Amino acid sequence: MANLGQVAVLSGRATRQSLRNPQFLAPVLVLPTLFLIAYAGGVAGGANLPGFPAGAGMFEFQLGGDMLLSAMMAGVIGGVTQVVDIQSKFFDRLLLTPTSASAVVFGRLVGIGMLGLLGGVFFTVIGLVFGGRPAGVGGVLMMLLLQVLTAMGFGAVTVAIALRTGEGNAVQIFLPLGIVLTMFSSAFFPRHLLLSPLDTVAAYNPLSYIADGLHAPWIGGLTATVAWRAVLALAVIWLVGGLLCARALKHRAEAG
Amino acid sequence: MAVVALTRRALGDIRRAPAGVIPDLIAPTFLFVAIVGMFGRLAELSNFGAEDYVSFLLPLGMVQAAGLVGSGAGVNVGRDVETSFFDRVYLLPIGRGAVLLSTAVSAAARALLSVLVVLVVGLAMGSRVPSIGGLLLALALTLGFAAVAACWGVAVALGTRSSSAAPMMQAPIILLLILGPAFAPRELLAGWLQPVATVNPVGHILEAVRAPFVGSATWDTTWPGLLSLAILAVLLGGLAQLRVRRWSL
Repeated sequence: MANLGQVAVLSGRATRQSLRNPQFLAPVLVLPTLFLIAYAGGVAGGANLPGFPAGAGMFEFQLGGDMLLSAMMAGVIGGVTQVVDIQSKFFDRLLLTPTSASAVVFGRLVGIGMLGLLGGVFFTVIGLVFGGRPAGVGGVLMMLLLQVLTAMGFGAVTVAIALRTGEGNAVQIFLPLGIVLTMFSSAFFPRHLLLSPLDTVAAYNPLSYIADGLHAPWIGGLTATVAWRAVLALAVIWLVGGLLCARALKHRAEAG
Repeated sequence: MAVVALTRRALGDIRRAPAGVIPDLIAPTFLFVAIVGMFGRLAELSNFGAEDYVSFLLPLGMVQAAGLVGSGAGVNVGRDVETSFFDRVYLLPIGRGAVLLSTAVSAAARALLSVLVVLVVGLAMGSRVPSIGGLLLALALTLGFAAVAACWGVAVALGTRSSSAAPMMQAPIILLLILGPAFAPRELLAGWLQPVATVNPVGHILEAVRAPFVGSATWDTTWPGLLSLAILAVLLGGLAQLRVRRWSL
């Protein structure tokens, strides 16, 4: 069982590690902002398509997709910073202390969650400044919670890869992969308006349901069904990430 | 002679490490296919102005491939700086323009490969087949854009003296590309983006490349693209050449 004090200290360090390096913040804040500019401005006319959420503009719709992308990028950065710790031997030195291995990993994941939260707050502020009106405080809190949990879930996968390989290249491949996975979901356009076969792929992609949960407060479609589907999709990602992390941690401990 | 030798050396990477070319082929093709799937329904709008979305988007895929590969040429120049190869070339009795020209020519040649892959995939997905003249015009403009993007990549590489500044080389090129009629015609862009698209030279290049795919290329559809390409060549080529001339060992 992870010691909460140890987790708090390690997550604080992980958060500062990301905040101190602009190259770690750029994928979380700048890249999704570019997507927001490109799609909110470039396909604005798409809001006139029959079947597009009534009363919503393209800008509001894109906010949810970009929040998801930001959370995914926070997860990738978590894996990258884990590699930095492994290559600098900081991780090995931590394991020699009385700190539990699970606290080390969970501290990293909480740090990733904080980076995800930063992205969530950033895009919520952008949304509010440029005229978006989310569904009340509850809606905003739900978006931020989804943002944090998505970053941690995807971060668990990248941290597992980092623990297993200790190679930056193996983790950095998740940066384009994160973009690919997001584009193969309903993050940037409503699922029923995607062309085949992308609509079918998006239906099986758990990110679509998290995206729906992030869209809903901005476009006025927040329902219990949307919320539980998002939670279920997150549970799948957390289960996969958790299992991979546990196996990778065991592997690294055995390898010494 | 120096340009030929330096161009051959730059293209030698393809022969020595062909795996390095794979991302240049996959990334633009993937983006093209994914965007068609995401926004294909836009073509159903009455004021879209093109028969189908694949034909409309294929030129963006081609220009995007050219921009990514072209600006990425700066990475190789950055690597030459890091290994001091650039210093050694600088000491040779060759014209300063040879360095930049060879990089631009080799970038255009590399981009041709990526552009052709996107073109073949687009045609296989049902894009309208342009006339031979229209296709050659589109390819010429696209490769010209790759050369111009390479100038920017060189300017960044010599400014940062690093090969790891790839995002600084590629992001502005992509930003210029998307701040225009990239995914939809001008009339369907958001209000704030329309004036930006009007003054954005890359948007005019894209529209000139697009014309033979969605209709027919005429002088009226082509000259703004040619003029924009010339302006970018002067500005970015001039900037890169300035960096080359002012290079200090």
